[in-house]
Amino acid sequence: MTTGGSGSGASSGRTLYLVLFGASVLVGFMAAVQIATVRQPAVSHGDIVELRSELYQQQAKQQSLLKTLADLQNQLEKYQATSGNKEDMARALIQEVQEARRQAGLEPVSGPGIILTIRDMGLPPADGQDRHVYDWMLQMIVNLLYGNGAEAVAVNGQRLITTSFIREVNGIMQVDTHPVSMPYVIAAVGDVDRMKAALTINPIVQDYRQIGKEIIIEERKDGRWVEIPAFHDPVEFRFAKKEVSGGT
Amino acid sequence: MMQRVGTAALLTLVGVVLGFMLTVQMRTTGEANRASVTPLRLEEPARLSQALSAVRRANADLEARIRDLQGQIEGYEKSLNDEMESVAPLRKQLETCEIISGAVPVHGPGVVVTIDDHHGPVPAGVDARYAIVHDFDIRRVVNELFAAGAEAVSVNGQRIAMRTGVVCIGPTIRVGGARLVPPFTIEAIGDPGRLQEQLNRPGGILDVLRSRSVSVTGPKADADLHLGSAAGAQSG
Repeated sequence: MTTGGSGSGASSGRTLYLVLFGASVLVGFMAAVQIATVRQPAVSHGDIVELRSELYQQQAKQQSLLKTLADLQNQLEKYQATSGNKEDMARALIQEVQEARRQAGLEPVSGPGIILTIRDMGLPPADGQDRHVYDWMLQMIVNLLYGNGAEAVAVNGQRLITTSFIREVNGIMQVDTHPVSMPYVIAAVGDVDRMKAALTINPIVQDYRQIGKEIIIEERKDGRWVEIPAFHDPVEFRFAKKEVSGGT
Repeated sequence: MMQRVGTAALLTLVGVVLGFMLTVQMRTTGEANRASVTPLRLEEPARLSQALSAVRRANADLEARIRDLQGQIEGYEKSLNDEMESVAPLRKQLETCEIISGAVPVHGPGVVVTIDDHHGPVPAGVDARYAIVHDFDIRRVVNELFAAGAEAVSVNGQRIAMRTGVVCIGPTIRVGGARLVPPFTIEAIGDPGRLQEQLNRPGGILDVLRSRSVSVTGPKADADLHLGSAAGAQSG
């Protein structure tokens, strides 16, 4: 690293080197900052909340997948145990159908839960106030229960299944075409504490009170359980077909 | 002269590397100091992401095993079917129950409707809070579809089953176990004509949504929709 020049030539060269060196350090600094800034993942508090919630959901999904897997293994073992005996296999099939009916809501169920009654508070009539309970108000209660730990729900004795609907036809409230009327009694088997907590914090209860309706919640935890009848209407699908799985 | 250029280049390189290293060093030291104060804040996202991908992988494995077991069970049922006549109605009943509970994926004709929050300025006379899609809006559309004879419904790919609640959590909507964001695409298998007629009913739910400036696309008929099974639905 020798510089051939001398005198003023060498001195100006050194200055040039110094300036060059300083500038280079600065460029390196800027490059490092730039890379660090670009690569730094933007982690906000919201992202952490999002991640936690996603993790919670995946864990909950895992629980239900494990349950499904155990049920299927159990069913498969029943078939395997028949070692090809057709009558035993038929019995195993009947058991499987029974379990599927239970899952679909075609069998009665009982267990811990709540009984929620919506009734008129008997307030004197208020001018121009609409005090009607609309179908969507009932739907909201049922939806709230399902979103918070309910496993089976019946409205005025009508069991709800996946395809059930609540609507008014000519001012008459119907649950799957069965007419129902006030007071509405919604029975739900499931997580009592979660259902009660959800009802407490949701504004829907206040909305009902504002139109002169009170919601009474009776909880049944030990011994005296909530009884929910089976869904009785005939169900036959004409459009939906089970997807033929690629499985063997 | 060549030598001077070479020296200059070398010095430049050394300078750049030195500056880079210094900066990285400073940043690392700085982060280490901060990390010692609040270790969780910095590590948690990475830890959570790791845990999340591990659970996702495990769930995918479980789903594959479930499909395999379902296939084996079906094999037994089929072999039984070939020999015993009384078995056919039982298998039919089994399939119906599995479709109701959402335990199996289904396909068939139906309709697709998409609802989305209003984007841009809200027209005069419309409350901005109602120009976005709420949990009960989705529930009402689903309710209308079932009332019109829908046999299976899904929202953004999440199959609706008996126990599926549709609940608002801040800006997202939880359908069953999944958090969804708008737009919401609702698919329903059933008689396309009947489903469209019910949704398009004057004063019906779609009219209500449009009057609130919520964006509605469809309902459009589809010859063959494919809906997955409900997460968490238990197979018979």
